[in-house]
Order: sequence, then C-alpha cells, then structure tokens
Amino acid sequence: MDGPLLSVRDLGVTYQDRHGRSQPALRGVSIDVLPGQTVTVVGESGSGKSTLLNAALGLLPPAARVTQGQVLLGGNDITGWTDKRLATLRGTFVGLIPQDPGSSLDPVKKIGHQVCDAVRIHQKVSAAQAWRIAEAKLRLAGLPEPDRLRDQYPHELSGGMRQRVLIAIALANDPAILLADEPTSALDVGVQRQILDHLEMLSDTLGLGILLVTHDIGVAADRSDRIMVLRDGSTVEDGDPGQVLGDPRSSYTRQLLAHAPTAASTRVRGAGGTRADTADGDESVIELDAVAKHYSDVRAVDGVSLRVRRGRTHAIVGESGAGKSTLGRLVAGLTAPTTGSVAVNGRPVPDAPRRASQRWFHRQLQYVFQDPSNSLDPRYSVERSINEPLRNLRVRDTARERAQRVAELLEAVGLDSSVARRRPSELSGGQRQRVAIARALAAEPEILVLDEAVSALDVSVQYQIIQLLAELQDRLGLTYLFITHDLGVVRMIGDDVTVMRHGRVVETGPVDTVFSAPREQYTVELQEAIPGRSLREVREVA
Amino acid sequence: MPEQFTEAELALESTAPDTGLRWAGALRRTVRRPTLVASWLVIVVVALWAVIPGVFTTGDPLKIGSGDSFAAPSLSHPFGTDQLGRDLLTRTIFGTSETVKATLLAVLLGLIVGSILGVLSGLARGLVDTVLMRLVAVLLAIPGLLLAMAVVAALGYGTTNIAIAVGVASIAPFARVMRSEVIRVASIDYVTAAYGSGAGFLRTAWNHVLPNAAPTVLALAALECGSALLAVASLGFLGFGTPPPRPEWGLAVAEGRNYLSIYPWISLLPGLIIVVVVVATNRISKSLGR
Repeated sequence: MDGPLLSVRDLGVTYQDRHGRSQPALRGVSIDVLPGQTVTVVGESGSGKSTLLNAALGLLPPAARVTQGQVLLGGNDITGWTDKRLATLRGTFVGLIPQDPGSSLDPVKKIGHQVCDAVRIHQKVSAAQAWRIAEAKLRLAGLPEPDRLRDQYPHELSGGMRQRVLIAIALANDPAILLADEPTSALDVGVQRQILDHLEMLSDTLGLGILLVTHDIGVAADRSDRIMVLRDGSTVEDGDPGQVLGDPRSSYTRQLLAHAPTAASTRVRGAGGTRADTADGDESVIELDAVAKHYSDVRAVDGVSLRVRRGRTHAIVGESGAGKSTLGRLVAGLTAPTTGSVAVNGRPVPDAPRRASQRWFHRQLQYVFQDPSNSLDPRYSVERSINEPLRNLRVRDTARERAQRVAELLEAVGLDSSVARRRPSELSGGQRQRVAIARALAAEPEILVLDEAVSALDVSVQYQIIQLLAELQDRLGLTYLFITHDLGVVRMIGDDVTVMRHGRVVETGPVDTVFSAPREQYTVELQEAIPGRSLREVREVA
Repeated sequence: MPEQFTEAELALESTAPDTGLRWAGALRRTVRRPTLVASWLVIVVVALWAVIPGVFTTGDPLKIGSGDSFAAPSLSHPFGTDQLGRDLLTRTIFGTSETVKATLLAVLLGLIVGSILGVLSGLARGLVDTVLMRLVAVLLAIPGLLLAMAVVAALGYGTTNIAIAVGVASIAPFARVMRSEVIRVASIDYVTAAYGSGAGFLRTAWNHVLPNAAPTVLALAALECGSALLAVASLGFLGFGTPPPRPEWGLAVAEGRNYLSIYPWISLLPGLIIVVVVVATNRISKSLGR
C-alpha cells in the first residue's frame, strides 16, 4: 500500500463526565502513519494520547463521542463502524500492544493457548497449524524457545517476556500497523531498551508502521521518524525528531525536553542557588553495616554496608528486585534486618517504631512514599494530615501553634493555604505529593527517605517536586536517601549514588564519578539503557 | 478512645466548605436512580408505620369486627379482614414496630459484636486471629435460622429473644467482612505513614483503620437488614415471637395459612409487604456498597 496505513484527520473527541458535562479530550488532532514509519505521540496524563490510540482502533469507551474528523485505517473511514465490522480490521490490519504486560494476559490460560487463540480468531486453521503459526510469531517477537512457553502460565514469565508474548499476539495475523500504548513503561530500563530495539527491527524488516504512545520524551527521541507532542488534546508540536528536539516550536516542548529525566539531565539546584558548602561535611548520618534482609528463601538485601553523609542526597538506584526499596524500609525502621545493623545519627534504628518511646526516631527521620494517593488518608483533610505528626510527636504544644505551623509548612512546599481544608481526592498528584512532603517535614526531621517519591508523577510535575526537594535541602540542610529506578532522576538530584543489583551493592560514589567513569560493567549497561541518548547528541551539537 | 479534638480542630472540621456540596451531589445522584428513590420511600414509610402507626390508620388492630370476617380487600378494608373480622391493614401497620424493632436490634447486635471480633482479628493476627476465625467458622457452619431457633429455644419466646437469636446468627458475616477490610486498609501506605507520624497502635486503629474499613461493613449491615427481617418474620411465623393477639408480620402470615386456598389475601398481603421491604433494603445496600 502506498498511502498512509493510519490517517487521523482533524479528530475531536469529548467525554461525558458523571455530571453530564462534556469534557474535550482531543481537539482537532491529525496524524499519518506510513509503512515502515515509527510515529511517536508524547504527552503527559490527560493529554489525550490514549484517547487518540483508542480512537484509531475504534475502541473508545461508551462515554466518549467523536465530535469531528475521521479515522482512516488503510484508506477506510472507520467512523461509525460497528464492533463487528471493526473486528475485520482489528488484528488483521492493525495490531495492539497494550500497556501493562502484568494484566493484559489471561492469568489462567497457558501462553500457547492465548497466542493460538489470537491466530484462530481470523484464520480458519487446525490447532496444529495454529500452533505452527504461533510458534513463528513468538520467535519473531524475540522468544527463541516457544516450545517451552507453550505450557507455561503468564505468572511464570518475566515482565519483558510477557511483553514479548503480547507483541507475538499483536503480530499473529500479520497486521500492517502496530499501535503500542506505553509498551515499556512498566519495565526496567534494560528490558525497555531490548523491547524497543525489537520493535524498531520489526518496523525495518517487515515494513510495519508503528504508532508509539509514551510519556517519555527520551524514548521518543531515540526511536521515531516523526514526533507529535500532545497537550490538553491539542497538537503543540509535530515534525521530524531533528526539528522537534533541536528547535522546538512550542515552549511546552522546550520545557518537556529540559525537565524530562534523561541521559542528558543535570543536577537541579534550589531556586536560591546558594547551597551552604558547610552542609557537605564528611559526617555520616546513616550507617549500614553488613545489613541483610531475607524473606524465607529470598535475599532481598544481602550484606550491604553504606554511609550516607549529612546534607547530601544519596541516591539508591537499581532495577526491580534489586533490593533498593527494602533498603529504604530498613533505614526507616519499617522492617527489621535479618542480620547486621542500621544506625541513624549513631543510634540504632528501633525495631518497632510503633511505640511512643521511639518518637525520637520519627523526629530525626521521615519516610515519603511513592504514591501520594495511598499515603494520605482519604478521609483526612490536608490540614488534619499535616497536623497529625505535629500533635503526636509533640512538635507544637497548642492548637494555635499547630495551625500556624501547618500554614507555614504549606507555604514551604508551595501550596496555597486554601488547600488546607481539601481532601486528597480533590488535589492533583503533584499537590498530593507536596502535602506528603509537608507532613514529613512537620516532624522537623534531618533525614528524609524518599522511596520512588517522584516516579508516579508526570514529567513537569516531577521536575517541580525535584526542584522543591532541592530547595528544601538548601534551606533546611536535609539529608535525602533517594530511592529510584530512574537514572535520569539520579542525575537531577543525586550527590552520591549507590547502584544495587540482586540485593548487593555494585558500585557507590559521587554521582559524577560513578556516571562518567563507572568501574563496573553493570553500571555501564544501566547507563546505556537510559532513553534519551539522542537528546544529548542534539544538545551537544546545539 | 484517646481521640481528643481541640476546639480549633473541631471548628475546622465543622466549617469544611464542601460538606454541603457533597451532600447535594449525593442527593442529585440518588434522585437520578428511580428504583433507589422508591426503595428509600418504602423504608421511610415502614419507619413511620413503626413509630406512629396511629397516623396511618384509624382502626384498632385488636378490635374484633362484627359480622364481616374474611372480607375480601375493598376500599374500607384494603387488605381485607381475618377470621375474627379484624382489619388486616391496621394489623400490618401496627405489627411493623415489633418486626422492625427486632430486625434493627438483631442487625445492631451482629454489627457491633461482629465488628469488634473482626477488628481484633484483623489487627492482632497470629493466634488471636486463628482462634476467633475458627469460632466464626463454627458459627457459619450452622444454618442461620437453625441457630436462631436453637438460641430462642434456650432463651424463651418473645420479640427481644428473637432479635438476640437472629443477631447471634449474623455475627459471623460481619466478623469476616470487617476482618478482611481491616487487613486491606492496614496494608495501605497511610497507615504506615500514621505510625511514622508518631501515632500509636490504638490511635491508628481508631483514626485511620476503622473509618476506612467501615463503609463496606455498613453496606453489609443494610443488606443484613433484609435477611434479618426475613429471619425475624420466619421465627414469628413459627410462633417463637410475640404471642397472638398482638400483631406482628411473621405472625400475620401464619394466621392466614389455614385459609390459604380460600382467602389467600390474609397471608399474601403481609407477605408481600415483607418481600417489598427486603427488596428495598437490598437495593439500598447495593447503592451503599459502591
């Protein structure tokens, strides 16, 4: 076919909300995908990128209405088609790679069964023939031993393998175009890179068109023939990567490029820019000595010794299963080590921090969780949440002093005093994380343990929170133990970094040293897998 | 419990600006579902029957009519009359308070005792959990009505005893649901965060775990109202409850059963009322569970 495989023309979609009002999700978006071309749609949550992808498949939810424009698949306008009619195109002409490999496969059916099912939906073949096709597709998706997979269940596979099975299913009926919805967001960087490399290879060898939807501009930068940036349902940028990345038209794209954690990120400083040098002392505030934590036969943390220096951000980085979160929980006293010792300011971390006698510990160290929608009680107003440590830890004695302190803390984390009476459900994700930070600061601790504290946030919000953390550190001389899977984020906030793998320390040292002159092969691999290498090239040329 | 609000905090709670809006929103959503509105209407009417039966009927439930026994439903006797010529609508309306009192008492007993067991089990875990849950399993193993009959047989007849019997039989589901909710809530980050904010075990349980576990259990309570009403009426029907001339729903159904083939309305209409109320509580429970 010569024309575009997928052509979206001036598409407008609105959603009907619970109160019957219509909320626009797409406002006149156009996009073409040609054979052999990879088109990437970049946007934050609420930008309409998933709506665009669903519209291309005719999979919009019942609450959505197409208000204008058309979607053409292989030249056919599918607007208004019934599901039955669309089913003739889904799978055969257009394949979908869903977002979450954890929940997109049926947990009670064997892999072989699921791939064969996909084949037999469109092809009238015997079971044996279907398996022969499925076998070939699994190989094509980069799974070299399909016979072993045939009788395995999804839970027996790693996340990366599951994503490859989903790719095999998408390829089952030889589609001409693949739609991929954040296909690697749930995966570790190393696996992400392999999957994306593989998709690129498929596009090159089979001439497949690929529409890739992602929040990560780094991913887009490395892989695309064409990049479109969506914001609030409108196209703010559309062009070839060189132009979009090198000379973006909109300030929003420029901001995304500057704020996304990538291989090209640099250390974020507080707005004041005056960081007290005295804070960079050599004094240890957290000391771990041969700490191990075993869960029955799993060695989550396996003999880690570590020193965290006062007033610095010590990042712990690693892939999933590296033991970094367990390490954070050990330091925060949320779980007790199997062997070894953890000390904060020279005193051992209490085993059971639930007791009132261990308030001293909470006054020195506070923990910030990954997902602020879980870490704030949905029934508590913001004011009451922040008030809790003030009262329980006897930070302020009278109600008047506490109310005043809550106001100060809200101001310190950049929130308006009007949010005090709201509940978490009435706040955005970024606002919630600010509240969680304010609550942690209410105890006036010296140390914050931040467990993936910015991972659940959109790029621009993430950047604001990182800025806030940098500023608070400068002002209050805080020490951060910053746990993250994202090496780009480490570049933005870390002073020191410890790379972990399989519960052990691979390498530790100042961020600049570890990243510019890594001693271990694993650190090199991790770094090479960070998306956005091409961003650095663009930046260096410019 | 050691929850001491200072005046300033209470003031903050009460002046929350969105409370009114929230209620208005809830009301709007309710009105948009007609079956739910109808269900609430049924419950309101039944509640009024229980509290002020005299307003709905001028008759006397015990008054024996002259000559017009077994009258079919008509304008003067919408539910008809029984073998003694007593007006059945009046008897149904006046019987409401006995039945509803017993039902509410039963659900309250099950809710309170079951919730306490569930919270203890869910928070303490370990041996306490094992022992309590085995006891609950034993309770669950015995059919509810059979258990209730055994309890009434031991305690003696009467509405209060029926209530206690049905309540004991409904402890088990409350305990189970409360336990699983408590375990779910206790593993959410905000509970850990509360410990990190210096709250002790009891304070965290009371302020964070219980309020967030309660909605599911309350939805169950609404559902249990239906089955408790059915159980209370069944025991009344079997003659374990209020002794005759006093009216009661289950008894009303029982009194008509000898004449079922000739004068079906004597049993049928009170029975219909029971069905309507049970269905209404089910509908309301479904809306609460969401």
